[in-house]
Amino acid sequence: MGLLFRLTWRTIVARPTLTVLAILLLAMTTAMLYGLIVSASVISSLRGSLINELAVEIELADYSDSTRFALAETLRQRPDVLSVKSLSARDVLEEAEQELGESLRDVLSNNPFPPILRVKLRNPAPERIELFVDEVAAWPGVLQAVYPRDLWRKFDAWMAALRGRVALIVGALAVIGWVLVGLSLRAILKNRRSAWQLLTMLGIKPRDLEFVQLKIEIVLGLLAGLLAVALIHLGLVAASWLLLSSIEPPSGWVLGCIGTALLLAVLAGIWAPRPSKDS
Amino acid sequence: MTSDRKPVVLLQNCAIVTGGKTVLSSLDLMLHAGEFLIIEGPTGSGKTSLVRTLYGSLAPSAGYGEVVSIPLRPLPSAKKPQLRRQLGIVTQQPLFLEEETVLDNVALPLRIAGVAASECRARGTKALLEAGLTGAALRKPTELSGGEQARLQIARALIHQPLLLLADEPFAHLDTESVELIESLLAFAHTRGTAIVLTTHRPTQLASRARRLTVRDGRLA
Repeated sequence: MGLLFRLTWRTIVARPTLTVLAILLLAMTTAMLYGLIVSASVISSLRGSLINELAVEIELADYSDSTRFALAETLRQRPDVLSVKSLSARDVLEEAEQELGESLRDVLSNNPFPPILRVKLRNPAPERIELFVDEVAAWPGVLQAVYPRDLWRKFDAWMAALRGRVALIVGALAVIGWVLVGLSLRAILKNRRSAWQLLTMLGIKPRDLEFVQLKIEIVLGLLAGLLAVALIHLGLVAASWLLLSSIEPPSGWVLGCIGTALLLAVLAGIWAPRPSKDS
Repeated sequence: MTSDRKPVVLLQNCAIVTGGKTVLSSLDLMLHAGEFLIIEGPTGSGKTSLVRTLYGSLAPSAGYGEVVSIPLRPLPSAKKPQLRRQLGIVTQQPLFLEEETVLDNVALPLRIAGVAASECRARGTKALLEAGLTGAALRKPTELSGGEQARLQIARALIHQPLLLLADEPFAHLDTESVELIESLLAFAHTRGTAIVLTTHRPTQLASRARRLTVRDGRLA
């Protein structure tokens, strides 16, 4: 074991430039892969935040306060309703004026806005909101119930396209990293070919040499994985600072990142000349 | 000579092909334990190919061959270590682990066989003493002269007391004094009962104690 350990170590340090290059390439590939995955995950999580903020607006046909309060109370009794904000037609007009920053009363002779109930649902999901809207729209005294249905559809379509592109870029990056790291590993091992030849000639078992190569790949993968973790951490700190909000990476990302680097390093070994093949 | 004993090397009607070219054909050879065989012939006649065949680096393309009772055709990769651990191999161009010391290099066959480090050191020191390299134990092989490297290679090939020593042109590129030292090392190994196959293209004082064959026109005669 001492001989194999020394052989592993000597091979790693024999060409420091190549070794450092392989580690950097591997770390950058892993960091970019994980950076993309984290970005996609962060964007995905925005959907949840947005949907939580989404309110269904129930426009009432009946302008009386009593009807509005009664409906609001009925809604508050429902387990799927988180909150109900009751707005008279006048309140709605004032809200619109605030948003526009000008008085509408000077322009409009009559208030065109109906009274509304603004409802937020508990644990909302687009399908549940749809059902809720359909149900409430059929209630007596309700003009219509609306929510930004198209916005969701657009958002989901955009997310699907983004996921496809991310998958494509992640795949391309993985292949490029795999090839480049493989070529570096190939150069590292080729440099030690005379040592493999000698040991093979002296009767070392092929699996011992395969094990040496595997150990080299694991060491490079581990170092690159740790470097990638540091790079991603720095990236997250920078992004959080720029966006003024904390960005949470997916859980288990450190292990996942190191695992990805290890996997890439071992797969990159396919490009390397097998030491045990030296007859 | 001793036909009732199992031969260390047995080749029957073998052919050796390298790079699509038949280098040797109709090859018959039998060597018993303790025998010394010198194979002579000009450079490029196929001596190295024959040695490589004997340690399983080249497979005979025809005929039957076995070395230390291990068949050469077919010789699975998994069997090669078993064959080579019973051989001592000296190549024309010496190969070493350049970053390791002379002592570590001479003990390589023992280290590969899993012998304890303390025993490797003891037997390595003794082997270097016999090769006249005691003072070089802690130096790197690249710091040695050509003659010293050749002696180191032979000491390494003999340290595990192999059944058969294959020495391919060990005198190449050496001065007379170095050749004499190598010859005395080989003679000492032979005295201890090691079978030896030595290839050379130049005359040697060892001829008196060896059977001699010549490679000519792709045949061994």
